[in-house]
Amino acid sequence: MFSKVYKVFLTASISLLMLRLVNLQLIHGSFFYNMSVNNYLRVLPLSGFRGNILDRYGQELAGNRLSFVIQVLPDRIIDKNEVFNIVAEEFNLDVSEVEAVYKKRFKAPFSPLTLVDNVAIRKALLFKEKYRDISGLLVSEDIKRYYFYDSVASHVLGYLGEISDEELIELKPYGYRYSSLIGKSGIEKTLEPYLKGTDGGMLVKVDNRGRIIEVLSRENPERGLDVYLTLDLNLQKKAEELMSGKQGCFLAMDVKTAEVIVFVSNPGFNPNVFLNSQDHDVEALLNSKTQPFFNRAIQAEYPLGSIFKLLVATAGLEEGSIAPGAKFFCPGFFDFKGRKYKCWKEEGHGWQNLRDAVVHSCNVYFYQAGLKVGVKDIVSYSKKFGFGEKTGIDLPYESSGFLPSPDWKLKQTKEIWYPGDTINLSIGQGYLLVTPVQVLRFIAAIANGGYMVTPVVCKSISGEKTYRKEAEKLSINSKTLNLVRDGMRGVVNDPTGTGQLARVGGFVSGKTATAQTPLGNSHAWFTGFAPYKNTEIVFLVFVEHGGGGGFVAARMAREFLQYYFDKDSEK
Amino acid sequence: MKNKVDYILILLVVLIFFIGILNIYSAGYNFSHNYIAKQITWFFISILFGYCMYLIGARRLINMASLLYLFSVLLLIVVLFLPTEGTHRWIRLGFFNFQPSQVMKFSLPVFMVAMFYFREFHSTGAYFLPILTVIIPALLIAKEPDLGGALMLFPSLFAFFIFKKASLRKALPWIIIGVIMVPLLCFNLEPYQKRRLLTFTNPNLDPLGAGYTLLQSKIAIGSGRILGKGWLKGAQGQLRFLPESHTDFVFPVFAEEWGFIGAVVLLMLYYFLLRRMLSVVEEFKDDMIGVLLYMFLVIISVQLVLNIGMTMGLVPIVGLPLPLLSYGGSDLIITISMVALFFKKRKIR
Repeated sequence: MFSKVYKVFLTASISLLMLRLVNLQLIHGSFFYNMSVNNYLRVLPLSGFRGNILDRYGQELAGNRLSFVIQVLPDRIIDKNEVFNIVAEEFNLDVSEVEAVYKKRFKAPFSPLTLVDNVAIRKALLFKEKYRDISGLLVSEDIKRYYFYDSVASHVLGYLGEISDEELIELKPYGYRYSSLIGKSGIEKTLEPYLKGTDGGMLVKVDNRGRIIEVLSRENPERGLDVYLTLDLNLQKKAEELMSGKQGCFLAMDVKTAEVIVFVSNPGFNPNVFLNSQDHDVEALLNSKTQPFFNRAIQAEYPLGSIFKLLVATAGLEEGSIAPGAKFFCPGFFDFKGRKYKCWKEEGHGWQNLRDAVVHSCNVYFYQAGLKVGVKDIVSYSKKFGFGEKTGIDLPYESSGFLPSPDWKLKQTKEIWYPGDTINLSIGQGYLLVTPVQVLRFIAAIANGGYMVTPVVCKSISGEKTYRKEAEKLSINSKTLNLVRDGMRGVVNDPTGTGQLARVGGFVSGKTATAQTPLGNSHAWFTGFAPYKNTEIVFLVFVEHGGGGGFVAARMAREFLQYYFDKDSEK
Repeated sequence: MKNKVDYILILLVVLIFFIGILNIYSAGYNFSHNYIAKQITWFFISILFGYCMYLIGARRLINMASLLYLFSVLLLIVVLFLPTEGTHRWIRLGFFNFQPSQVMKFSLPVFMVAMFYFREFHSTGAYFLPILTVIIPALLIAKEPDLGGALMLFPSLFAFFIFKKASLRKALPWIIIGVIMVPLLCFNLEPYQKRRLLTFTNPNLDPLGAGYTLLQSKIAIGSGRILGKGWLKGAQGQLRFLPESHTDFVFPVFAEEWGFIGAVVLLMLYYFLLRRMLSVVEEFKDDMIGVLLYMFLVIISVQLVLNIGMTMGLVPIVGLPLPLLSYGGSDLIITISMVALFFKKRKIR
């Protein structure tokens, strides 16, 4: 029975297929043959443009711009040299250059190929009029991604590039084609599915010169969704101005909502460069020694230095291992088992209690405090405050930094964790590495009453608020936090504080750090929050090899905060 | 007692594969991709797999059916959780990428035979478990999303019931449920899958996507006329008008270059191959192995007919390769592994 059923099925299907072959190849053969020889059917893609990217107040940062391109249809060109000559002459190019572009972009004889990009409308229309009878030459509209402020906020926006073969295999079903543009970094990458429009296209009949004679069908493209960022363009520009010429980053964030208002990683790059055809510009950027594509705020891992003292203080107060009033004497160094650990101030700070030590950033106090708190508590509190793990910010390629521990050291180096390691760790030196955004989040938790927030740069997508991870409340006594906050206020506002240069009207609090590096000048950190009461923002300034944190970084913070509060009072 | 190997069957497989190589060479002729070297490598790997299957034999495969099935289900679950920005169809091992749906295509029939061979289908309820064993992996594959891969699990089910002479009347409630479920499932399809199905009923809906492919496919086949344009001379395949010309749409490339005569010869070769395989099944008819081979035979046949049918607009376009002829490793390995079990003729007593 099964064999009979199968025979019937097989014979019927094969006969059906053969009948269809008779129909297609024998009966309609010449019809299809003509169609294939002339191939007058063309598909012209109509790209669905990407959604805009705007700042929190609706200022456009990235949008689309109409431009014209000069294209050729390879199989409709009669005289290649003539076409190349015309294009070269009209656009002041070498014929060899035009030829090179042609060779590079040639995909298939029937698919239009762009020879010249970014042609102004007047020029395009004139060109079209003048050469309308040259076979195979086309003037087409082209809508391109455009970043209005060049490199401003480039590390948040990201850039577009051609889809890779790997990506294409997986994304083909979602409307991507060979050479489609796709977000490669920043918000352009993380929100690619929302920003991307849906491509449409036209099926057209062309004549023997490649001109459209009939549109057989058309599918309209759809625009992608608009993305509102949490950035404030004005403040962002101010911060970029302050950072210009320096390597590092500048961050500011709403202390409660964790919306990032300013996000600068310097040097940045101009994302427009990727969309225009000059490859050497891209190469110059890629090969630049300053690594402009490196997002220093979330990808880079640095030694933190004295800001880490705030964590040691928090852990000690919380666990009761240091009392706020207890004093340590600083003679300018700390002698531990015959080794001298220096304070940054050679002549010493004298007797210091916790607040004094924070205000003066006294190393000797924290060497001893750190030993009292112990590495176990320092590590566990570091974990609580998110060191050694990603913050989860909605940008790609975030690093997790590195939080050392005795277990790690034993495994890695086959050596035990020495008290000397704890001493180093207590002032944020040694094995510890952090990303600037981790530090920002730590300071936010101190300033907002112990809430671990997840920083975000995307505010809403086409009017709808995006999903936010809820802040996690740490069980930290508010007394502890207030003591640390008060210390930070002293750093900026006490006559002997290390961060005086950031003083603005008495309500800024902060902490300096000067992190030693194996090579070159120290890194300068300054981070803090303002105002002291009803805190609005936390900020962080980081300058690679910027020297003392109390100088360059604190000064930049002051200028920014002045601008921030002036603007506020204007409202 | 003597083991005989069916050399005619082997010859037919090699011949069809060789035609496939010529054809893939032509489809990729104008591009830099080196499909041929890869496909030949795949072939040798397939032979290795096939030889292993031959050595293991159907009997031992059935003995490890549960393990095979569980492993395949596990793979299907794992692939859904692998990080990817697109579809979840592939497991990438770097040197070797494969589709778990193909592994399931192979192990599902083995499992069904092991579990349900002795079951009597006298009541409607008896059908439930076999149907469930198919539905679970089919839903997992549909989730990837891979409609073609999910559909290819159902032939085993039908083949099994036909072999078991199951009563159509008792199965009727299940068939009705199935028919009702189809539109419900359609709601869960990806937009592009819905579009492909709709395009089948009205090609003008999507001239740029599936409609375009179908049109170009028909132009390619039709323009081959009686004698074809000759090897490496097919305009449609060569000039890249035809998408996927080396994978799902190899048949149009062949039909364009070899014409009606060539296409008919190819279909006849497949016909002989399948009939030869059927005769092997007939030798085993009262045996568990018979059911298994019958299911494999039906799977390969249905895939063949669906693939060629879709290139000619007889069935909707679903992503399915043409057995032995399309470029791609996973399908080749599985097809040859299945066919290898047919090579051993029944021991002559």
